[in-house]
Amino acid sequence: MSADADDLELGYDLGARTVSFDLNEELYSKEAVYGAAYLFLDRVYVFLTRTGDAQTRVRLRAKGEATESDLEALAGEFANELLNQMVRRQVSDATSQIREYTLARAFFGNEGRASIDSLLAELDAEDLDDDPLEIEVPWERSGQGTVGG
Amino acid sequence: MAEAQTGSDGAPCTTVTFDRSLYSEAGVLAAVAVFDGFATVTVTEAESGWTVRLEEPDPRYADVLGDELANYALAESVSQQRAGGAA
Repeated sequence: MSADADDLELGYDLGARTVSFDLNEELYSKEAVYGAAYLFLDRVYVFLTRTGDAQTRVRLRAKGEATESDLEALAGEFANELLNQMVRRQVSDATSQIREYTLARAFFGNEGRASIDSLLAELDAEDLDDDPLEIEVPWERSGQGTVGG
Repeated sequence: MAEAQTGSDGAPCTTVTFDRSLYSEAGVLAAVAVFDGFATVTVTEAESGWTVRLEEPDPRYADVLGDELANYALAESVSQQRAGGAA
């Protein structure tokens, strides 16, 4: 049974516990299909086939009983997840330079080195003469370091 | 797609065909290795991909064995693709 393309933008076929639809790889990258499929593996059986040069057929089979509306909802959720995966990829690509710059600055920038230098200078300048807890006194010399005696 | 068929001896069997452009060889073979204990599994390689034939399945899992194997192969293929391997 096929849904009317005017009613639903994603055309799909319904079968016994199964909904299938074709995806154009020019619209949906293979990475997006993989990402969405991976997220559905625990809920349904996912199977991918090649139906054309740039077309992938996705078949989702429910692991238990499923009504037509369940299967339609499943196809819709998969389509939404496809878009989600596409957007994530686009945002990732668009911000990759910023991420690389931020990491490079954190690891290799002068500001980070200066802050470490300033911390070391602060430690050097710290007045360590006061030692009320006698931390600088060696354990043996303090008379408490003997064991069993 | 997992398809229930009848073997030459009349016994039921299931075949699953994996497209090379969508599934990785390592993913398919990993799935075969995992499910080998639940059926007699044979793999046939062709230019377009691999056909996995499941015969004498464990009756407890016969209905889902092909689908479970396909899910496993897909999960492995996706994982390898994400890790940088060819799918």
